[in-house]
This record gives sequence, structure tokens and C-alpha cells, in this order.
Amino acid sequence: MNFVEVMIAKKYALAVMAVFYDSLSLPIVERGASLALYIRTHPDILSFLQVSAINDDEKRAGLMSLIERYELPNCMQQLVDLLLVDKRTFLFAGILQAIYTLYLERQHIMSFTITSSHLLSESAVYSIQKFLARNTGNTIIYMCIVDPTLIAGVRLANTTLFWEHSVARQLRDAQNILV
Amino acid sequence: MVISESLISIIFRGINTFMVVVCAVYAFNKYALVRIKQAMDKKEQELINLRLQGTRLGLEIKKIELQIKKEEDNVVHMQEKILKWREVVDAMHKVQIGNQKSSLFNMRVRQATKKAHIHSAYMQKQAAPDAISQARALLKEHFQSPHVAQQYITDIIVFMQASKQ
Repeated sequence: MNFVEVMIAKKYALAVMAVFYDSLSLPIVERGASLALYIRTHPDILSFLQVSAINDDEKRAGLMSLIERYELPNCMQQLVDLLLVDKRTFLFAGILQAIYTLYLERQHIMSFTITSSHLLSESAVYSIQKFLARNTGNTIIYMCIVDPTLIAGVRLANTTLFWEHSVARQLRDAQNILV
Repeated sequence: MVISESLISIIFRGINTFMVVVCAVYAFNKYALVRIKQAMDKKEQELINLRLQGTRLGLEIKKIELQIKKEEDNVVHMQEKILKWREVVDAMHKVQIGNQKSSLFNMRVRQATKKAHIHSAYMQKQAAPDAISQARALLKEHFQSPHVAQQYITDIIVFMQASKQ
């Protein structure tokens, strides 16, 4: 998606948020984000939505099956109908992603990916969550990943923030200084 | 009678004297005067020659004096030129020394820069990546033990708990 498409998708997302905010919840927008990821990782779906020769009913049927599979609310069906009228169904994934971002912003929730070199204990994850909540002032949702390339340490990142304390980072810094 | 005789004798004496004088003048004119005239002419000629020679020598002296003055002027001019030349040579010498010093300094700077570049290139190409990869291997080995790695993570968690907003 280019910048213009992202901006248009954001406008649709704002409209959905304005009209259907009460029918949304964190699990719903998370599932929506998962569906957006699924569509983006499958280029054939995007092609299917972009080709104008394909009947709108077929596009609607395809998107509805995806909405049902990801258990998204009825408001999404209305969004699909609107996109079909506007001939912009290819923006659906972008709109879902924008809804997810806007919902988190409005709820003062931040999503973080916690990457660690070794599996973290529950108490450690809780401490990290508290640390992030304290420093951002938002509620933190997270996803834990184990990445041995860190050697030892932790990396906390989302789309806007990055915090890392690991052996890999120290080696990276040393390399940047020396080379 | 006596008076006439004495008169006649006086006359004759006068005539004799006159005759002697005439003879003497004649002899003088005929024999001595020419020689004297010749000698005088010769002396006069010599005098004229000497005068001419004196005049010529005077002219030569004046000429030589003028030449000496000209030479002296030339010497002064040459001395001035030599001084200027020396000044120019000194200035050029100074410039040359300055250039030599400057080129020597530039050469040293170039050498130092080249050395630094070589060192930097060596560091970039070989030493630093080698050191980093060795450190990475050592650290991987060190943190291979779960206990050590967990301790490291625990220290980070403790730091997080201790930190304030």
C-alpha cells in the first residue's frame, strides 16, 4: 500500500470507529489485525480484490467468509458493502490494520513485542509489562518471542518505540564504533 | 790742424767702428743668426709640440676622468643591482625553504593520513570484524549456560523494576 492508500484506509477506519466504536473490543480488533496480516501475506487475495472484472458478489462472498472465519462483527459486513460500492475492497486489510491502531490509541493501549534470548518466566514478563506501562503511561499488550540471536537479553519493540538491552546489541554497538 | 786731425781720426775711428760693426753684423747674420733662428724655431716647434701634447694629455685625462666617473657610476649601479639580486635571491631562498618545509609537512600529513587509512581499513576489514566475531563466539559460549543467561535477564528485570519513569 502506498501513502495515499494508507491515508484513505485511515479515513475509512475513522468512520468505522465513529459509527461502530461500541461494538468493537480488543479481541475483535486483534482478530481484525490477524485477518489483515493474513490478506497481506496472501497476494492472491489482494489480486482477487483488485481485479475489476471479478463480480462484486464474488468479492463480497469471499470477504464475508473471511469475516466469519475470524469472527468479526456485523459492522465489518457493512464496511465491505461500502467498499464494494466505492470499488475499494483492496483497502480492506489496510482499514482493519488502521482500526486496530486507532482502537489501541483510543483505549490507551500499546502493543509490544517482547523478544528474549531465553524463555521468560511469568513474573519477568509481568515486570516488563509494568516497566512499559510505567514508561509509556498506557496499558500494555504484548507478544513474547524467543530469539537466540540476542545471545542474552531482552528487546521491547512496537511500531514507534524500541528498547533493547542484550549482548547482541552491545556487540552491534561495538561494531558500529569500530567499523 | 790738430782739431782737424783729431776730427778726421774720430771720423775714421767712427768709420772703422762702423765697418767693424757692419762686418760683425754681417758675420753674425751670415753665420750665427741662421743657426740661432733654426735653434729657436726648433725650440719653438718643440714647445708647440709639447703644448699640443699637453693639450692632448689634458683631453685624455679628462676622457679618462669621465671614463672613471662612468665606471664608478657603473660600479654603483652594479652594486645596487647586486643588492637587489641578493634580496631577490634571499626572498626566493626563503620561499624555497618555506615550500620545502610546507611540502615536508604535507608529506608527513599525507603519510600520517595514509597510515591512519591503512589502519582504519585494516580495522574495518579484518581486525574489528575478527574481534567482534571472536567476542560473539566467546559470549555465545559464556551465555550458553541457561543459568548465566537467566541471571543476565534477571539483572535486566531488576533494573526495570528499579527504574522510575
